[in-house]
Amino acid sequence: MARRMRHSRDPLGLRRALSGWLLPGLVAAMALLAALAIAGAEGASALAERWQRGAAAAVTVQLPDADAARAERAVAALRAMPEVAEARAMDAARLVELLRPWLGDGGGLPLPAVIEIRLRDTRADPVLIGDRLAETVPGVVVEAHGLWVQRLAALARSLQTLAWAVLALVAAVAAAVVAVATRAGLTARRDAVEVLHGLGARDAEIAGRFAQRLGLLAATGAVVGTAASVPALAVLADLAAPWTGASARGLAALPWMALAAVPPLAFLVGWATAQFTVRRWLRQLP
Amino acid sequence: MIRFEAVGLRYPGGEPHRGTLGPPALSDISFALPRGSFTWLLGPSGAGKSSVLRLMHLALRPSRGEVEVLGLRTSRAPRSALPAVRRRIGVVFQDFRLLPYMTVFDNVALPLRLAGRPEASLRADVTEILRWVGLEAKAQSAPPELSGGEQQRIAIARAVVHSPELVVADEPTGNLDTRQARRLLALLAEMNRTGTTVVVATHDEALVARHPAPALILENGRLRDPDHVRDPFAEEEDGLG
Repeated sequence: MARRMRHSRDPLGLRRALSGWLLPGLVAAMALLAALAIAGAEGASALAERWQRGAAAAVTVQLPDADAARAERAVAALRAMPEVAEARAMDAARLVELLRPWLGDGGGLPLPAVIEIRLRDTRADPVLIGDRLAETVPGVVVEAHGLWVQRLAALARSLQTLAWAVLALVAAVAAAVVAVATRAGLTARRDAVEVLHGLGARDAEIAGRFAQRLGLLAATGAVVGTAASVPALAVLADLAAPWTGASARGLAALPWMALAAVPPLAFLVGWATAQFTVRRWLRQLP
Repeated sequence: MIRFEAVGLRYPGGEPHRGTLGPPALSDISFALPRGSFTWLLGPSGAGKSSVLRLMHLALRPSRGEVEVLGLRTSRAPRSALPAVRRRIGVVFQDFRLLPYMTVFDNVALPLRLAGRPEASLRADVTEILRWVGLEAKAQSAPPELSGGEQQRIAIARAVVHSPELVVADEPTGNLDTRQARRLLALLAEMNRTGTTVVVATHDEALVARHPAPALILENGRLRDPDHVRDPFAEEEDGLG
């Protein structure tokens, strides 16, 4: 009875013809690479975003020995400039807070007034802004660290693109591996496929059985590979935390949603590749 | 039911002539078999009997002419129309073509499962047909454990379990001794009595003598004296009536 139950749902004997750990093992290795690429893409994206945000407010104007009237004059003058999107005087309390690690509680030191500027176009030259502002409010100092931050952000974005390209390549190689396995299965079960075809099985029915089996094998491999990537990713996430400004550490910092998508995607790649390969093979039968 | 009109068939050429067509396997074959008929397909080896049968169960399409099976004109029918017609045909092969890794029960149940019959309802039909061929006790055996005669009876059971309208058998007694061959013939004759159209290719003269019926005789890919068999088109009219 058990034997009957085992085979009744598997008329092509695919559980035996397509077995072993070769295909799941290869898919596991590729899932590992995919998980690393996903984490890389997510990490690069976080870095790029953070640096981009920093770069947008990258220009600051300092007024040493400032009084409130001078600071207001400077803000008004900056807001009047066409290339300035936004100019905002930094709250004195916040400034004290920012400087606490270096200055303690301030101790009555005279702090400069600081104005943050957001530029409409980041290519505008901050030196020119400083020169024009100095005409109204002498003694201002303009700090522009935006340029290199922006270059770093661009680098992070390229890394992100590269990670997606790696992901696409991994998926393509996985599809090729599944196609080879499908052909091996077709060769092993050629007689059975021909018998079923002769009995009136539609291409969709035969291809569906192969697709289900190969999708399952690919998904199994992907679960193993993704699980194996987690410890490495947790360590990397820890190392990257200071750069990305992520508050979460270790396991909590991993892109779990994206990682959870790897096995279903592997199933889909296996399923679709097997469908395509088997249907094309069946075309040689009348 | 089955109508061949000026059918010609050429197989694709072998290695030295890949991409070209080989010599004609069948030439200018015309006949019609009415519903519910029993027909012998006779002729020496290589005369084209298997080719005619393969055209009948849609394992091939004609290179020329028209083959009509169960209302489907196969030469121009879309590929997707063939499976539905194949399910109404039972085929018995000389080499059985059972699936060795499945039990006898599952082999016989295959056509019903392909037709989407629920497990609960197909069990009774499979058991019934296994009893009919006398192999009910071997339902859980694997085909390789059975004798040639038993495997042939399983192949018959698989061919008829879904009550096909047409049964074609290619040298079905080739692997059987005389007693088993007689028993097989009795099974086919009984199928025919219940209304199934039966076509049997054989070179076993003794078998034909035991069950006299109209015969198509092939020689070198051509039909010998087709009018001698019957007036096909008149019979077809009767058969449909």
